[in-house]
Amino acid sequence: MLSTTSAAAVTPGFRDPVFQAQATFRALLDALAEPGIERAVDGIATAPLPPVTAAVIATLADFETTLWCDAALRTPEIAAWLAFHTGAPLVADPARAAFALIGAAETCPAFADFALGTDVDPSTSTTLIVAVDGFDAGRRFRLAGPGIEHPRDVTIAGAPRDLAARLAANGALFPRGVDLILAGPTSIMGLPRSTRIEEII
Amino acid sequence: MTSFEPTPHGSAEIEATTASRRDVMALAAQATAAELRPIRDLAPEGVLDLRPPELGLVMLRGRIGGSGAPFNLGEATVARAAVRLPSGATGFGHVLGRDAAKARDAALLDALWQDGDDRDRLQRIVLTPIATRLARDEARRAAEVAATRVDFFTLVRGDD
Repeated sequence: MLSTTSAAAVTPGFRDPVFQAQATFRALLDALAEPGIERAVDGIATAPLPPVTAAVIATLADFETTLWCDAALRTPEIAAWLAFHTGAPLVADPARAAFALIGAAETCPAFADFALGTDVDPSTSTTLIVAVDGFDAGRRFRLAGPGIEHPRDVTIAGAPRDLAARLAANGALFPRGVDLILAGPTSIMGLPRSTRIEEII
Repeated sequence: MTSFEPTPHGSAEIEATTASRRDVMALAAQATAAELRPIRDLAPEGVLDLRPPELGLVMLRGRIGGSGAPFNLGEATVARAAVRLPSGATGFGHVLGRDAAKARDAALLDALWQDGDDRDRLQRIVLTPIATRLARDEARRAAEVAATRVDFFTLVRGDD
């Protein structure tokens, strides 16, 4: 149970939990079904987290999913907000997390530090929710793979520096590996483990 | 592995506060929606809805006798809400049923009680009427039961 002092720091979550969570979940499904296509998400502006990251985790997490936050998001306010609105336990070891919240994409730990699943249960891997600056500018990537009919070019601002190399190594583990959800200021983009990615220079 | 501290235990002051708060929440749980409604007039401006009222289910667990094995009796609908006053006091409301406004009123009552500024007014306007009505209901039920009471006694058999 939350103590009064920690609850005092908590700010509101979804205004309309049922419909906003459903809309966000639909956006997540679409984003992972068609990697590289931006899907609009109504962020939670009152959260101590990046608004779109907050909406995604408020939709996905519950008391059975473990969360891991990177150093940028490891504050008492965020811990209290996540505990109040999701009830999900925070873990210190990224390899035990069902979802990882990455606030500083540049310093994101190696993907191999997270749970990669097993060949029998690839679904037990970590899903990374990475806050990025946006999809209008930045470095360009070419995507291919399931859900992409013709190679698709995307731009990502504020992505991890060596994103293409990391995802290539992650894809080599298939069916194991992590899935990425990039959270921009107003939208999300999915990069599941099945997507092949190369940087356009 | 959260970084905030659990509620400290052992301090007499905190235990007294918790006990009185528990009494207030128990009254709120037994109140009718109409009995809680006056709390809205006592609430200050700028109450923040931390958790807008929402409906859900709780599993009711039962056991037969003190030593019976626990079993799931069934589910009941509950409404819950959480509010924060401008002063920082956070109130929680959980009530049986599907009355969302009642859950928010119960949360307001919890928050205002913790605020502690105007407990006399809370007592007079909200809590005492509820307690009075509950006592009256209890007395009436006791009277109804007493009217049908049968006393059994054994006559001493005359032996001579």
